[in-house]
Amino acid sequence: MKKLAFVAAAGAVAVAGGVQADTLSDTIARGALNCGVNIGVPGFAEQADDGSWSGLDVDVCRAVAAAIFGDAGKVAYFPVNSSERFNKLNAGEYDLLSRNTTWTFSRDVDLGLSFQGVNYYDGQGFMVPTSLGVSSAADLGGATVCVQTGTTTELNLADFFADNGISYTPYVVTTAAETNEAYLAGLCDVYTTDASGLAANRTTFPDPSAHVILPEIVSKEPLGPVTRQGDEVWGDIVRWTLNSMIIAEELGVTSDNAAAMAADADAPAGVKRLLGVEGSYGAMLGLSDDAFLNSLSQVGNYAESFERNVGPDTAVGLDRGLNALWTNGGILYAPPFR
Amino acid sequence: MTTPNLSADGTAATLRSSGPRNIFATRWLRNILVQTFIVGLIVFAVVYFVNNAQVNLLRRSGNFGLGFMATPGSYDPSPFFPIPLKNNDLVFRFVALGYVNTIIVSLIGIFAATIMGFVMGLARLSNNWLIARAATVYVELLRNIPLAVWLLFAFALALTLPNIVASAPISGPLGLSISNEKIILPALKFGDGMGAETWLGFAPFDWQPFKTVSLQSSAMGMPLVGLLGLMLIGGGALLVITRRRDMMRAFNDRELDTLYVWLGLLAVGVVLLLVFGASMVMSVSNSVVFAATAFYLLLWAILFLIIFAISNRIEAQERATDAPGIKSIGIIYRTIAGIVLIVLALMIETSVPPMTSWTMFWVFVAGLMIANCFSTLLDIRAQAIQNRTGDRPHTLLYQLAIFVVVVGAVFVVLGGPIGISVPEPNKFGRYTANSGGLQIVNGFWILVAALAIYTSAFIAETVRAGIQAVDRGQTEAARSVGMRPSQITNLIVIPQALRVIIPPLNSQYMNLMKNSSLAAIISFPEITSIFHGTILNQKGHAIEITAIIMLAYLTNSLLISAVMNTINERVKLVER
Ligand SMILES: N[C@@H](CCC(=O)N[C@@H](CS)C(=O)NCC(=O)O)C(=O)O
Repeated sequence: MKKLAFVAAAGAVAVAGGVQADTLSDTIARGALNCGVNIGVPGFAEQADDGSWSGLDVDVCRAVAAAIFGDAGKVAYFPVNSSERFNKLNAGEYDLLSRNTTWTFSRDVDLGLSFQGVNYYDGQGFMVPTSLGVSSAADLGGATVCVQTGTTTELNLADFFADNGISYTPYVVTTAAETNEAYLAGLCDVYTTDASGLAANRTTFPDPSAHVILPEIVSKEPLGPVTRQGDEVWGDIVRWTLNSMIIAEELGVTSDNAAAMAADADAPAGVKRLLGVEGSYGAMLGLSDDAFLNSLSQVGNYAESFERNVGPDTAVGLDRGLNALWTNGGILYAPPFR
Repeated sequence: MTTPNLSADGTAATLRSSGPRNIFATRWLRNILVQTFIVGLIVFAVVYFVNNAQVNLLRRSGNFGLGFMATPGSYDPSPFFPIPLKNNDLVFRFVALGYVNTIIVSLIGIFAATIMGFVMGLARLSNNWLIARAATVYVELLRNIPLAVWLLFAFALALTLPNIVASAPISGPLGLSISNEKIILPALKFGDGMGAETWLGFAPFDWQPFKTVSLQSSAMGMPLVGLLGLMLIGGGALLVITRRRDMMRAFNDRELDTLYVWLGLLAVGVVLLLVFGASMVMSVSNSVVFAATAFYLLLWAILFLIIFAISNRIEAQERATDAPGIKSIGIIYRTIAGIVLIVLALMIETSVPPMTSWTMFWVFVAGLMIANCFSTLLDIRAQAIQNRTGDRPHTLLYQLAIFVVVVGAVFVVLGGPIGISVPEPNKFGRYTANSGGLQIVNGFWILVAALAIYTSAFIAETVRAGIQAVDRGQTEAARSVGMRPSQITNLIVIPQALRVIIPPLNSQYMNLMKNSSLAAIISFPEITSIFHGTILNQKGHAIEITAIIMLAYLTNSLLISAVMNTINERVKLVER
């Protein structure tokens, strides 16, 4: 008994000692980036049969790993559902959460998280079976709606129906897999989540063409990578890795030409800075100067990642839309790299 | 007292030590020192952890405390609650209703598990080979596969039932249907034909404070130390009560069923006071709501104490006399008082405006309980006649008549407020909260059934062990005095077996109650999935939320223990 109490007290002191975080050195010492991702949303985070991961969100993990280690493969993936993602991030299970997570005030301020930018501008939509004969969200009065718990979706849903004075019955479930199951089994008439998520999940249905996504977009869902509050250096690394992918698209740097452009003495100054030929931006982050050369040649720029995972040629088939560069009519805009 | 007493305090040690008095050789002093040291360490560890959590959480998000309990829940949960819950209700209400669901599921589960467990336990001992084997298979199959797997299996199976919209559900008359979503039955409708909003023509309470209020979250928080302290005190008090034999005896002298009422009321009170009390301390800006609530709670507590005191008086009288009159007064008094307190607590808890259909329901329950009082009176009279003449008059018909008359009277007094509500689907072919009828969602009955069936396997084993522990000689002796087999089971074997069965039954009940937290995997909302699954994710406050959930389960466990200990005291050998 005495011993036990003593051990407890000693443990308490030890825990208190280890609070200060230096995520970068911890990650380097570990040899892999711990990254929280979606359990499975086609195009955003998906695990192939051989165990490898791919997707727009996964590419952020891979790019950060490449910037740190020079190897995009050094990622340990932690698939999480929506209701446990922040707890596990705060508990230190992983250091980066890249899982179609909406940047909101209360998450940023109240939950103690730091959002490091936006890698997909989205909005909440509704999907119904074509056979329901509904063409607008305004006709959904009385419907039962499947929604996933712990998301902004369930909050928007309540607001949308209350604001429009429409009654509905929510059916709240825990994971996307359960949502799909419930929707397909007819436990609800309507499936709601981020529009990208609707398109992605629809690809997994037995007959995708039997379901329509209604035209209304009822919310803003800027999705982006998240870190714990309190480690600014780590936050900078994630934010600028994402920015570098967008800037690379602006500058025309791709995975194919990155190495050649780095070697090209006549390359534009912006490219030289980005690829670590001029200035030592990598070192300012505590990384090597060729950090972004590595991430860009292994993962590619934003456009490449988009086309590869969710673009029009993939099963998910999303248009760039808002996610086009600001110069192309979208709102994708990264601060200058200098 | 010259003989050294080795088993007692310092005397012996002092006698033995020849040198200068070593204070550590004094046992009581040594004990005190050691225990002070240990307690000190524990207190230090607790304070340290709490402080550590507070400091680090503060650094991360700047607010730590129960303030979030008074903010709106912000999402619409699945409508699987006894009363409606909306997104602008306070978090406290979400949690309270989640807790209510936990309790409902646990109580029904315990009831069903006990019956099935006894049946299966007896079946395993049956002389009929087939029945005995079937029971063995039942037990082995159930207890060797985890409950979570059973739940998922049952839910997946239920999903294969016909869908209510797409294909014709299994249906019957009066809107009855079974589908992969829910079971729908016609229901009794209370409150029809009442017209007026309230029964008395005016509202006895102003329920406004309990309606949803959108409050700004106030950042002030009550430190966790207070909560932990309350938890310890509450838990400690209950433990002391369950441990102290003399206290239990005092409880035992009372009617058993009344004891349940008291304990239940006490539990509701303690939980409400704890949570509301904590909320009161924490924020001044919400004081209006909480002051009103606290006021009603205070009223409730005062009423409780008065009733308790009067009840004690009557009981003292009861013990002093054999007059059936006094006994019956006691019974009637306690029953009615219990009902009043329950209804009041429920009104405060759920903020149901008076005289909605729910209140009508309670009035009916009250009617039934009053009828119960009268039939108890009949029993007492029958007993008296039996004592006098040796013949017990038949009471069954009279008792039935009493039930019919009393319930009928309540019915008439309320203006015949009853009808049949036949469920109607809406334009999507679905049944919603407004469709009428009794709708039992699959998640609910699957959860209750899985919990009950699973636990019944363990109870069956306990029952079998208990029965086998009764000496064969008892049965043989009973047979030799000419008892019938049913009499032997009911009068000789079961009463003795209960002594062995009750203690392990306690832990089975607790297991069932705690296992109800698996509801999350089939999307049925109870306290864990609401509070830990959703609210925690939307609002943060992991430590506070987990602590409150722990408190809720702890309270439930202690209550189950208290009730089971009482029953145990009753069935165990009476030592005179
Ligand atoms: N963007 C929203 C919703 C994100 C979300 O969790 N979406 C669901 C529906 S697509 C999902 O990804 N579920 C995957 C899973 O639980 O496996 C948020 O951050 O709260």
